[in-house]
Amino acid sequence: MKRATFGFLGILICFGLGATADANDSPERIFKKHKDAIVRIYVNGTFRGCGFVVSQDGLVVTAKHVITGAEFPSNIKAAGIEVQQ
Amino acid sequence: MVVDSSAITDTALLRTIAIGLSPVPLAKTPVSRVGAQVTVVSAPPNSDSASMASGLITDAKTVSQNRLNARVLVAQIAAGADSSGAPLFDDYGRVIGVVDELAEASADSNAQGSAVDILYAQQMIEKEVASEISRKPAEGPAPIDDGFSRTNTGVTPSPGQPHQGGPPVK
Repeated sequence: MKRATFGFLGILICFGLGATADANDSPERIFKKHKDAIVRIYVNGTFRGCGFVVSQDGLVVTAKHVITGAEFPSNIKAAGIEVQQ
Repeated sequence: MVVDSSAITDTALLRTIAIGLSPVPLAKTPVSRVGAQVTVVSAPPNSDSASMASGLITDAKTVSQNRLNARVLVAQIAAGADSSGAPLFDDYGRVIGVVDELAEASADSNAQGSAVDILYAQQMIEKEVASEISRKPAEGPAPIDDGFSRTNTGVTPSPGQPHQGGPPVK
């Protein structure tokens, strides 16, 4: 009985440690980690909204209404980086 | 260029020539839960740096209004109009949604913003990656030009090349 209790406690501790290792990120940390992946989207020189980089080869996701009316967004700028279209 | 877009899910995928940008991680499964903390990171036009706003998810539902027919996450978050298209991160730093125009509220601390589920963007990405693979011609490994010809049974010197290494040839 004692052995079973200790075994159960051991499992609980393992799960507890796992949860700690997968700790939540604070908004500040998320911001710091991912701010460079955010891009500004301009259509015909007018700022329309943001997007974000989802692949290393240049795929960017945004909202459809941000690019509505433009087959080719005229300019996409990341924070500090101008990205060629 | 615009790779794919949908007015129904208010999601678009663009291809750019971007070098040195690190991608954000996307949530693999719907993990949003009411009460969970979320963060929007956006890039306002009149600033050199990005900005952020955080809040809590208040609802997750399917919305059918105007042209939109998609699963959206509603959050109590002070995300401004400049945030359209920005990523909505969960508290593990994974993107769970794309901020849509419903979030275009004033910078009121009680503002309700919403984002369409990242699922729709993931489907576009998977489709694009699959078509990219099918567009690439089948290529084998590049031939090695080191003076040896390779056979299935081993390596032999090419004609005119001196034998190097291994036991002396008798």
